[in-house]
Amino acid sequence: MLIRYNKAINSALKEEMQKDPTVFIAGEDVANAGGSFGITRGLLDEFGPERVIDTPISESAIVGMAVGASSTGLRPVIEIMFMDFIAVCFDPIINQAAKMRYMSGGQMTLPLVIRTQSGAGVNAGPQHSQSLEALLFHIPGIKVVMPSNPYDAKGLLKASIRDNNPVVFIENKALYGMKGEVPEEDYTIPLGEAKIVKEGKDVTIVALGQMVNKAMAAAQTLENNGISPEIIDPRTISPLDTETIKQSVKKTGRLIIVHEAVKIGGVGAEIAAMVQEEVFDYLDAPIQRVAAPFTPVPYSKPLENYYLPNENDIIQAVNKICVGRQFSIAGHS
Amino acid sequence: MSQFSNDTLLSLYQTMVKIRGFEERVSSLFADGLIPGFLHLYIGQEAVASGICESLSKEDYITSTHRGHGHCIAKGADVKKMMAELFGKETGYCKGKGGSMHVVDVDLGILGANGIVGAGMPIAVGAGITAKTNNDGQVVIPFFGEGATGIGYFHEAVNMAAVLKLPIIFVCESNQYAEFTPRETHLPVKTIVERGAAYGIQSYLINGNDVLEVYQTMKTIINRTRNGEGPFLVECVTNRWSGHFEGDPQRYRPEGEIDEWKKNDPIKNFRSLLLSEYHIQESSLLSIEEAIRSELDDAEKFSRESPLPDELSTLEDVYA
Amino acid sequence: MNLLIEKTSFASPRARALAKKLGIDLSHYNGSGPNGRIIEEDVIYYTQHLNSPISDQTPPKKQPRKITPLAKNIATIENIDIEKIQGTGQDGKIVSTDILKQIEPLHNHTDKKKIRLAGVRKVIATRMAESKRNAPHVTLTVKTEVTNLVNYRNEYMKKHSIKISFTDLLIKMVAASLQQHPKINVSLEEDMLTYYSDINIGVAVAQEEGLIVPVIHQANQKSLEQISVDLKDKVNKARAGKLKPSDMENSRFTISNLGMYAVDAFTPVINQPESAILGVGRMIEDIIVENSQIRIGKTMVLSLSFDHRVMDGAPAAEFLGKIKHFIENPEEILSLQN
Repeated sequence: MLIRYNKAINSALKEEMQKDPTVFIAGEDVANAGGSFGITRGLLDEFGPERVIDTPISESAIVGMAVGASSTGLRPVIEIMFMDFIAVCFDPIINQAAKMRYMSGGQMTLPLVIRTQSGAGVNAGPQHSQSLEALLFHIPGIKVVMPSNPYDAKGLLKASIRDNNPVVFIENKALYGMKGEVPEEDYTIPLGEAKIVKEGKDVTIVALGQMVNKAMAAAQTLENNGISPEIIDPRTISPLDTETIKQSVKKTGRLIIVHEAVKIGGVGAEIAAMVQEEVFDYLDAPIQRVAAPFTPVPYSKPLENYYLPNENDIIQAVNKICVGRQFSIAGHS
Repeated sequence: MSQFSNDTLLSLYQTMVKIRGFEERVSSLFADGLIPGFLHLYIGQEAVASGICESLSKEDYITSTHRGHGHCIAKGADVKKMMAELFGKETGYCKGKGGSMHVVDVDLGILGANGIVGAGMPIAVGAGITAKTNNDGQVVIPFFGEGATGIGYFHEAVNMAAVLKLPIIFVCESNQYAEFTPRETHLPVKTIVERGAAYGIQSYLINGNDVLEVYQTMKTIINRTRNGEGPFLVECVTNRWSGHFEGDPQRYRPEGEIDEWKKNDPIKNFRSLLLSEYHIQESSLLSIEEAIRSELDDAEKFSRESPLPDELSTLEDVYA
Repeated sequence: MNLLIEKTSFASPRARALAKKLGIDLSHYNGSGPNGRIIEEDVIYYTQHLNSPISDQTPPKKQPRKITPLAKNIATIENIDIEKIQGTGQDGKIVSTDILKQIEPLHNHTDKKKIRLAGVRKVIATRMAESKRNAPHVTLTVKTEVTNLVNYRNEYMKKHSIKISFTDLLIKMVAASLQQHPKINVSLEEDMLTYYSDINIGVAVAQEEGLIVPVIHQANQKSLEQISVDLKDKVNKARAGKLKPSDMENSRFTISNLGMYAVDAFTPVINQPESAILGVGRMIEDIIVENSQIRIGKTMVLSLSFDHRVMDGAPAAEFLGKIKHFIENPEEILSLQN
């Protein structure tokens, strides 16, 4: 059935709550209001206020609560309304959720999911548009998921809820309205498995979140110009499916990483480093990153458009390294 | 005629002596260089943890602090595994991955000592949701110091627990110092119970150095909480004899202050009371003391002889 | 080990890995990748063409031609090489009429086309014949190494973020050489030798109708950038047919660069009333023997034709040697910059 990204998330929550009575939802505005993006709409009616909990505006306590609830047998799925707000709950994420299992020598198990929503492109300004996945990606002990389409969103959220580790599930606000085919029957997508969105032979493009769709758009133009990109959506950045990326780079010899987070210290930096460490001899050109400039996300349309990487940026990066006797365009001068 | 059974009295005494004995033992092992890192000792505050945990079962949850040895022992933790953890041995509670500030025993409801001030409180809120969901009368007790009421966690957690009507008793141990800073410097209020009032929850101020007062008050509050009346806040006034950490010379404390408090030693006081008021035979107390000494000897021997963890175990237990 | 050679042969890790596997020394090769980097495809290419001389020119790019099935059939039957055909269909696709156009002239090869000489072609015909008839030409050739020049140009462009051509550099170097060899900057007209102090360099530019020679005036006083801008401007004007007579007057010496073609050396014809002309051949990868050591570098051949009425072999040879010196030590012209 053809449904939107937001609906796919809603049905994943609903189905997992039906399946497992220990799953509950908590967060700001999630019960009565159905979530500020409508993601939890209808759940209060079906599952009641014990399992769909409106909390005060207390991100630290919400995440800390999830640590306590998950370590005592429940499966909390909590919502941090904007990813920007994780900055106010870094301690429970970084020092508590991520480390409890390790600090306790493996005694504690924390099956919790932090759903949050990120991304620029809707004029939400500097404190409501950031993509901060790299900050979490850097922390051992949590998993980080970034679905780029409705099918993945549903399958990955179900897998996240069933996972016995803290998972940060990053939805992209620009994708909430995206439609996609989602099967009626129950399915999950394993965390840590990348998807080859499009096969190609000349250059590997690893794209995160909504950038997967931009990369696909760029691929059309590139194919017309005789360059065949292979597009990989890691889907989960922690754990990262390094094997799929390496296999692809071994084939193409060229790598471009695209994310809408700022370039410096981004996930792209890690992927580039990993590739040069492990498959250096397969590289036929320098690795390129397409990412946002090192600035906060601006508000005004032209500024935000400038900030956000687009198809042309991807095409340009490809043209920069797809130079050589086998390429018909962009010959060197 | 006594409102306390002999078993209870002796159990309280045993817990207090065990905590004091453990802390004194690890203090000297630390001084000998056998225990690395930081140690935050509970000496002087034993009546609080002992008096409260007497009324808890292993189904109840506690969260603890960086000064957590007392809470864990009172909740029934194995001193062998605790001490081995302090030694950094693979037989420790956390296989040498946590250390003094991270003793955890999930089976005993010890959801962790914690190295971050205040962090245990929202975790207790989560355990409170579990307790409420289970509907079996479990209670949750987050321990924290008055210094932790300066952190957002306290306010967010008490507020959320109040809103969600969770079975939690927030226990503030006012030991008079937030690390090196005296209470008057960082608190604009005389008592922490005033802060409980701000969140509309019933709050009690008690003498944290009187184990029987702690026991009696908390027993009532715990029962009310089991019956769904929570949350509550209890402030136990006590004192920290040792420094913020072992090796802290405590130059910030006025001369004679610790000596004053030592005159009000909760264990010594309780011991005299047991002999004079409750007619406990001294031989019973001596045999408890002796048993604890021998238990701690065993724990020390166990800790010394246990192997250090294999370095490759560094890579384990990150993910489930 | 020659550091310059190392610099010119950057290779991608992938190319290096393949070269190592095949036992090939990459310093022999040119790259077609970004910034001239040797990439895997270059190694594959050179492996397949190991026995043929290696050209500095970028080899033809593999470009699968788009062709309609009908056109392809006709081309196969008529044995026509479709690579040389310009397609007129969508996106340059070769259609049947493109093939048929090729067949017609083949089938009518006995036809002749006669055109009377006129315009530029006629002027060239007259002047070249006069020059050859009147001036006894002697042509000196010398091979020069251009490895440094290639690097120098790349670095110069990178440093100054401008594009300069080899011709721009040659103008600068020839102008500097002329300044030091004033006996070459001379013309003979009616038994009168005229020695010039201004150094104006003509550059032969090929056009469909014939050669045209715009002039860079006072080239010795111009910076490389000025020469580059001036030449570009005049070449554009020449191509647009907008070159003014003043742009072509008072040339004292001409450079004819055939480096873009497969030409090593040639005997250029003097553009009278000048007394000498420099012909420039293509750059190639070459074996260079120096101090009993063999290394690979890039070379090209300079051909200097001079009018033996005006000068003898020795000064001409010295002049040519000066140009060679500058080409091999390009950094020296930087010290002549302004």
